[in-house]
Amino acid sequence: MSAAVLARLLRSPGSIAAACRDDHPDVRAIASASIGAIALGAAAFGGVVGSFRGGIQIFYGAVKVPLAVLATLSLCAPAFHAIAAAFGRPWTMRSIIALTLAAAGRSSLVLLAFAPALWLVFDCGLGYHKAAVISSMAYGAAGLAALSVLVRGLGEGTGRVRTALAFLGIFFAVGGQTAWILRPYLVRPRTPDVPFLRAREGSFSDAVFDSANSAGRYRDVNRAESFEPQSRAIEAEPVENEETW
Amino acid sequence: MQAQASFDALACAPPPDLAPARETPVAPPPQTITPAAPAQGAQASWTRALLGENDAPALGADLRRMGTGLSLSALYGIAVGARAGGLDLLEHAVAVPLAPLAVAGLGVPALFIVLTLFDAPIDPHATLAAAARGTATTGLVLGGLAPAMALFVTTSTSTFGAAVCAGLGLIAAGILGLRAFLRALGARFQDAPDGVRAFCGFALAGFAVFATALAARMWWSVMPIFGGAL
Repeated sequence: MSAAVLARLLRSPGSIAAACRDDHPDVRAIASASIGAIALGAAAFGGVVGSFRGGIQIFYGAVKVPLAVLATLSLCAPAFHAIAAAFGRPWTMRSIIALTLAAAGRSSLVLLAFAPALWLVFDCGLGYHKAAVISSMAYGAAGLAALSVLVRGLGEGTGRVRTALAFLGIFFAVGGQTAWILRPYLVRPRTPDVPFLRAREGSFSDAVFDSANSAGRYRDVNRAESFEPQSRAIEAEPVENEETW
Repeated sequence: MQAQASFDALACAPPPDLAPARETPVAPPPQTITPAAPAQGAQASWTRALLGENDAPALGADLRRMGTGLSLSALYGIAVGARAGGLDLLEHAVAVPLAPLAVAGLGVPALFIVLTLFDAPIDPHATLAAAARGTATTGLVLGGLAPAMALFVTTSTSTFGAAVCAGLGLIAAGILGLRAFLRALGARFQDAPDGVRAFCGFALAGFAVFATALAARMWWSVMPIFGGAL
């Protein structure tokens, strides 16, 4: 894992993306540095998220987050290859794999940077829901860092936005599903036993749908409360779901 | 000290072959990338050969391209069939390519007749080449989505969820294939008189509706995941 390539990955995503796209001789070094960055950065982030409960969950988190990232990339790369070709960018599979690895490597480095801060706020006694929100925000910021590599990698030419949107859609769907089946990541400290994987419960899209419904129920309850302050005990008690994340 | 030395090494002295080309405000030279015009420096890719334009019309090349597209579509069928396994793998592998095959075999000849009737500048080989390109695009997208689809259909608890995922992949691939076909054929009408071009536009729009309906009907009635049967 070359420090120079890692520095370039952070400082100069455009040149990295161009090297991947044009199948430059650097691609090998970029890919290996990116895999190293994914292994290190995602494992550190996963371990910190697991430290919310502590114990074996630190190890589980450190294994599962890199696993989720790499599994997502392996499932997305063929789709990216096909979509890029269909939108007028018939690059080699090698270029596509290098580009996706570089994007994931950059996001993993950002996760690595967030890990100490996240650990600190966990250690200061952050609540479960806030911890989930902050972890998600860190993950989102890392995703933006990856997106900048991907979008620059698409280069100029027609269909750039459509290709980027298609990449995003596929990545979000596959990444969400992969992460969903590898749950739990963030576990409450009082949970006695933690499985490596939870039993299968619907899918990522089901969860998004249920959450949207649940948000609607909260909204309805709040609206009802604002009109009838006495009827607070009404239906729709929000469900507290343990170990959701 | 060591940390400072490492930082200096990172910041100041990258090896010459990996020297970061800093982002500059100067815009990169515009690079128009089309299947027919390879990006500079890029190696020839398999997808370029599959989706690019033929240098010389060749029936064999078009048929090969179509066959490759149909085979890749079958991969998607295998991925969808992985939910139930067993015979479903085979049934889906056969069922998925049937729709692009039906569109190419039934719809395209009809479109050719209609276009020729109004003196559109088109010949059978160009029509076949466009159909091959559309089929290859659909197949390529389906083949690319196959690994992700295997994940979705095998990890969704409800059959409805799995069917929705499978359907979304088919819709996306169908749209892209249709787009490739229409663009390949539409490019032929650029220099045609206004009246002919307008008519060709209507004919292609009608074909798009017909092809969508036919593909949807085929997939719905023959794919077991949608409740159909071969």
